[in-house]
Amino acid sequence: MTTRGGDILIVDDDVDLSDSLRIILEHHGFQVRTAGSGDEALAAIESRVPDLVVLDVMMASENEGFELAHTIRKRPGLENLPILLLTSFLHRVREEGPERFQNVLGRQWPAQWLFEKPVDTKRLLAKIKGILGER
Amino acid sequence: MNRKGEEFALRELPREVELCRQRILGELGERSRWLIRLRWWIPPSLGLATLFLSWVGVEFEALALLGIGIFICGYNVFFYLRDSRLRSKGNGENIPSQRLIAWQVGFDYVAIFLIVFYTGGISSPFIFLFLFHVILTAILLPKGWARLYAGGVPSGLLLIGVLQSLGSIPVFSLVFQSQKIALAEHPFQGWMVFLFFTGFVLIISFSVSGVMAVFRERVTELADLSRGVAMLCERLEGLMEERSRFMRKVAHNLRAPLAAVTSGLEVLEGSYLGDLNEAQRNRLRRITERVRNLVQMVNELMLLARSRMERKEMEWRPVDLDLIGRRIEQTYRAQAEKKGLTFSVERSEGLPPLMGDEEMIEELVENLVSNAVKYTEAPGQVLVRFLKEANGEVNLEVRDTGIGIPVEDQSRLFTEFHRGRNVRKLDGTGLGLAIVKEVVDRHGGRITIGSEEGKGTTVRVYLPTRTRV
Repeated sequence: MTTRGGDILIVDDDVDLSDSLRIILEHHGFQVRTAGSGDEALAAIESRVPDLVVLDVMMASENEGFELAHTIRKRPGLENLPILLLTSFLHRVREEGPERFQNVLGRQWPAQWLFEKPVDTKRLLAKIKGILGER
Repeated sequence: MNRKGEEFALRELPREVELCRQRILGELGERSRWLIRLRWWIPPSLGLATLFLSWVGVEFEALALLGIGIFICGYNVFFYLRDSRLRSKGNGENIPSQRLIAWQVGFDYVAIFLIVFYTGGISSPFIFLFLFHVILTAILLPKGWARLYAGGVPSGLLLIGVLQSLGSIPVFSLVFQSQKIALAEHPFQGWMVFLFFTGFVLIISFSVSGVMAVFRERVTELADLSRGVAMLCERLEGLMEERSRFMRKVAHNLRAPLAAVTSGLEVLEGSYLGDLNEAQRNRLRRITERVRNLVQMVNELMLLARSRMERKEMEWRPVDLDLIGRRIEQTYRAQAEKKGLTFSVERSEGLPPLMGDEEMIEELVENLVSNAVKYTEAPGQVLVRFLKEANGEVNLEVRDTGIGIPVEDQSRLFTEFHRGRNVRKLDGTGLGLAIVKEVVDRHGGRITIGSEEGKGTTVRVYLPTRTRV
């Protein structure tokens, strides 16, 4: 398998989900690493900066993904690192009302792209190819 | 098919019962005001009676009667002012105080006793005026008071009779053509009249006040019962909310593993882990379809739970029905035509503005249209119409020539997870119409479904404009 597509870091505490994505993306020529928490993700980024971070918003805590995205953005040299959020966030905003998510909605949005779960992998794949092709 | 009326009645029952109780008691109170109004007629009536009796030649104490008329007029002014003051203060229940009624009857008793005294004592035809007051006190006052007043009538008459027979007070008899009506001079007839009259007064008083006591007790019981119903309703609503919360939690917790399952299935379907044979592929396709159905069910369950939980917090905004119509057409036309169906959306000109939750209304129409498309086979027809009704309502009508709804399923259409006998083999969650019903209820509308198996279904949703529930 070649790694012509780029280096992707998938951050999700659902191992089954990240594993499936990893298989699909690897099959399409991307090099994929996975991390199950914010700390693991930061360690993986420290060791090698990926071309794209695919990030689950609601991991162990409600906003862990958001916080991680903000942390990444603040790191020198990572301000423009592409981040794609996988989330049920919009569903939840719709279902639980925006008031509950003011801490997230009131801040600058930390990612460039957002995909609702369950993810349509064909669309996701097309988007990732587009993002990494734009580099 | 429309359960709206029943639900409204259940929720509003305690308030309705309390209003009814107040209306009944208020109605009784109104009798007291009626008494004041009626009393204004007594002085002129006495005046006219005096003139008439004098004209026909009856001899009696005319001046005394006119004096009594002025006395009645005087105390009625007092009671009128007192009643108006009580009414302007407003005691919340529109019920005048029983004390005021008791005082009124007391003064009336004095006036009637005076009339009776000046017109022949026990022989006076005016003793029958007491009957009216005995009945009135039995209706309006507590049992004890009513009986006290009833007992006061024979006691007073007896006292007048005894004092007259002892010569302590004069006897004023009615005289007509030199003939006196004077029962005191005929003791047997006098006593007979007195005893019959007393018995009559007491029987009336006891029976009417007895009936009224039971009536008041029942009204109070009804009010207590309504409070019980109110508590029950509150508890029921709490339980419903708890159920919705649980439903949402379950649905939410199902979503994450479902997302993982979906992506796992895609890995297999896409042959990312190696090629599948035809049998494996077929099996996988069927599993994927079932999982998709499950995902849809979870999403709809969450929507339903959210809608039920946030009943009190709905935001009312103008709903753009034209926009919804266009979106529905965009979403479903291609799908319907691919199935070989004729699909059309019609909108009346100048639809009145509808207030409500646009997202919910769209969800409602989508559910109905998606059902119509799903359950209609080629060469069928699906017609969606947004109509303006003569009474100002908006009628969202979805008509199809599909498989229809069996009669035995029609009464359970809005029950969660219920699926008709003829659609169980087709994909579906059984939540669509429950959502439709929820949205219709929340907008204060009503829904009618006409269907014939094998011929088609017409669903009409009537939504009021410019109103809120």
